[in-house]
Amino acid sequence: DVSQYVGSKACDECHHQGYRKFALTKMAKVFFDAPRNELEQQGCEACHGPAQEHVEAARAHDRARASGIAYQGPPSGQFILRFGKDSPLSARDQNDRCLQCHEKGQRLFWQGSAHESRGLACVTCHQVHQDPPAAVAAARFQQPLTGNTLFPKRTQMEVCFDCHPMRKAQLLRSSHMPVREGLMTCASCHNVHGSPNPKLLIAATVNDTCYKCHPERRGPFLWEHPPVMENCLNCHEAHGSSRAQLLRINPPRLCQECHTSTGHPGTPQLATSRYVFNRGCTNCHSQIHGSNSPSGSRFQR
Amino acid sequence: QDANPSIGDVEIGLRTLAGDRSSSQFNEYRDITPGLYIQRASLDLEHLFQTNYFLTFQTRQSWQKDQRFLGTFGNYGKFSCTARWEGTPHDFTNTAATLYTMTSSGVLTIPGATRTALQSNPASLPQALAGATPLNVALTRKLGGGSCQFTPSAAWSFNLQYSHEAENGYRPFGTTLNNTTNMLEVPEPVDYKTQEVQAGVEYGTRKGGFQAGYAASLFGNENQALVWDNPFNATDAAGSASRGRLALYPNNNAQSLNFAGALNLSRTTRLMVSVSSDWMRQNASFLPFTINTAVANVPALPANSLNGRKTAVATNITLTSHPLARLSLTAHYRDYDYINDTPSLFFSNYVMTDSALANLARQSLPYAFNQQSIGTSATWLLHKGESVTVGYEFVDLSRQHRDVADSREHTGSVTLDLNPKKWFSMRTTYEHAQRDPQTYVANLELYPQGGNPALIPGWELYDEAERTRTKGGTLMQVDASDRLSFSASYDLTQDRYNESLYGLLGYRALESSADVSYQLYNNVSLFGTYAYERYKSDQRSRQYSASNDTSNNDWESYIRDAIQTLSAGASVSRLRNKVSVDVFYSLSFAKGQIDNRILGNPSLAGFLVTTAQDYPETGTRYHQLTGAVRYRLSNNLSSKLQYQWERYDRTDFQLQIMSPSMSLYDSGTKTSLFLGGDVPPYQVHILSVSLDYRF
Repeated sequence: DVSQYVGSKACDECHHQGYRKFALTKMAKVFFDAPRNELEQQGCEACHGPAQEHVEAARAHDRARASGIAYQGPPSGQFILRFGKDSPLSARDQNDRCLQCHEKGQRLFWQGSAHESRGLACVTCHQVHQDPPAAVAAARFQQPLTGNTLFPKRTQMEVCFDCHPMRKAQLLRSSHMPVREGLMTCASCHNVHGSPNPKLLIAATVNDTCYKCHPERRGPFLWEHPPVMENCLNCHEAHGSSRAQLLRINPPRLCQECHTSTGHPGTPQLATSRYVFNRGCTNCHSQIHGSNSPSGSRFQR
Repeated sequence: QDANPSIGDVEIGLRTLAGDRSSSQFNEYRDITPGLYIQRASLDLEHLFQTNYFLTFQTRQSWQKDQRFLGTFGNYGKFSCTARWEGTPHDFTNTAATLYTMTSSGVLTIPGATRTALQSNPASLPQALAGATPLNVALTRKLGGGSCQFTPSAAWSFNLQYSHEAENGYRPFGTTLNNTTNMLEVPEPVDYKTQEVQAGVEYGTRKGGFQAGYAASLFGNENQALVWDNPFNATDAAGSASRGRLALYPNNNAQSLNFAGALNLSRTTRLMVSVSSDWMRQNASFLPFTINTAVANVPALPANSLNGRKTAVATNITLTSHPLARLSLTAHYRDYDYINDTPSLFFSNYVMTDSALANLARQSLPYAFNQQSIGTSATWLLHKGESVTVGYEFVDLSRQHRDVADSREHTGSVTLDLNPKKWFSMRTTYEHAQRDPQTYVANLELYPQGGNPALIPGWELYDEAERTRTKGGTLMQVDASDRLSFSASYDLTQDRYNESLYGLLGYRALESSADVSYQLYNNVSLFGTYAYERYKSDQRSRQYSASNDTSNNDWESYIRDAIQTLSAGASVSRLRNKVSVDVFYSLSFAKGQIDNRILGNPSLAGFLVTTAQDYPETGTRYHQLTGAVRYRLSNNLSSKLQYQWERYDRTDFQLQIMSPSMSLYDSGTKTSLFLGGDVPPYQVHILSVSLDYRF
């Protein structure tokens, strides 16, 4: 019912601070200055719903207060859609408002995704018109350059760490990807809004995700190392390790999980042996990700 | 601030450093230098010339190796074009030294006089090393690119993206000549260029939508081969090469087409489908078997190049429904087909380490696999924020040319979300998975032409072996008041390989954390976190020879890691509307043990296992302390004083003993040469003063 909409200017009358903050966002610029459909034309009410009853109740309340009499009517808040932890709406109902416009792009697979099925609301991780985080004097994790800063925390990573605290611990290890330096974020590998791929990866497999930055390891190679080809995580711990090169376990034990033979593969080897120090097995078998040399079947060429 | 939002800012500072900042660990992915620096700058021009056009620009660490630039121009709701420039340094080691010089692309040489001297007297290596060149072994990535997104309507959008990345520098690289007689670690020259193009279209409404796209990635390596001198032999001979040559990563390309669609079948049911196909190609010319001219009877190559062709097709179908207000159902099917059409090439012989013919036949195998999975989950909403979820997944994995042709895994899970109080929530998960290979044919994948002894009976590769996985975890979050919040997590994972008698036998991981934050005043907050992780794995092996293969030579290795992470800090914002303070400290403390035990009786004849000794304990400690005070000088100008202390300690028996000559540790390396690359400890103090101007 079009008559139930009052327009965004009415919101500005009472919710000036929130309105001003929202007006600074790209979303508001589209809604207020370049709406592309009827929904966007509704401005604040596109998300909060038609506000006619809300405004009438609020004005009745104001009139009663001005007259010095107790307001007996319903609270205005019950006539407007509110978001966040205190909202009477379920997470699904809250998200439904956002998905009116955003159920595409990265959110195409939101429904049924890990975070949706765990009851997360969009506003758990995003804010539209709250105060941005306080002025940053220093940051533990640098935020990469991005046009999207609508997070309730200082960085996107810190939002994820709320529910994934072990990832923060792993990223503080000596061998790590450049996440704390602000050169990557969780979203460099994961689509937190839902993905058809395992572990919410942005690509079809772990390896396809790794190849985004390491295309040289993609091959095809003449001599392939099957566990490498199937899953980089057979040897590497992507979120951080206390071993060099993000390895799960130090070589030669890492390799000896699978390899035994006469000679050095089946031998425990002393710590000071050339099969152990430096990079262990890859002191010689350095082409372990694949070799294209006709003499490279042992990954030494 | 809200009344007059700034359109930009710039933070310029002066920095000084004290301590040992040369460590590659300190510089691993960043560039912190003394002197003048631009920490960041931004410009945000909205409604350019009273129109709906906008222009934004951001930069960080400008004109440092890790600099970042990002610019965007667009029209609200209509289009947006972005240009990006990023630099990423990656330091591997700062303690390396080498006798090698790159004289042409991928060719590393050592002066003839040095080689002659070392050939006649390998023991003179320490004297020769006096002429070694110190080398900071490091890479730098430089990425430039742009993208545009057009949205002619709220429903339609089109995007186009291009990027070019250059990766240059050196990487430590192990090579060997003449079996392990001459282990020669060299700085591998890296000169990669990768171009990527993507184009896509999307349509989306409340009823559903689709996405379709094309992507291409072209990888080029300027150094297709690495040639290096043998410092201990200047003349080729059969069994003794004077040079080595190997194939570096070949040029390759990948293209993909992808489609994804979603349709709301009803108000409560949504069907989502995605199909993507990747084509990976590689056809670089093969190198000859060897560069050693003295090796005779080298066979002809079976082909001039690989003509490597792989196709990966991923299909996903997901159906999700909320048939009742309290019930959510999800079912998914996934098929990932990794098709390898690369020819299988037969090599009647090959040259091992440029030394001599191996007299073994080899055959390359086009490894491929197909993974199909089907799963379902049901969630029953008990109350707002409280639910129970039951899930099941079945995975069928078929492989070609691997020891296990087909394996099946069943996974069941239960999750309970509780939110009995507004301030208290808890999630508990339990998962049990059973993976069963249908048949295990040992040694199928490694040596199809034979040439190596069969594996010990009962040895199974852990990524294919029977596995029972049990996982459990809980996450608790308490918002005790508006000011105090607390969370804790505990997760346990256990893998047992019950049918493996050798190889990896078991793995156990414990991960726990606690996190507390307290808002002392409206503008003062405190936080503290602690995490403890413990990882254990057991593996068993056998030292044996063709004539001495008994279980009396079995040995076992117990690998233990314990990692503690601690961080704490305080933040004061806008004290008297002038001062903001941040102080925090973090410590990551890791210890690793590898204990090795013999399982046989040393007094029995034929006992071989004399090197099963515990390895020295390894460990890393990384401290970081930061204190920063920001003082607002005026509405637009603020100053910042920041002090950082970082300390990194490591105990690493594998790296910290490294020097170019390692014969003191292993006499078998008297004619070997290493880079001597370590990742040394450091302690650095960084003091910076900066001005932040908003306009």
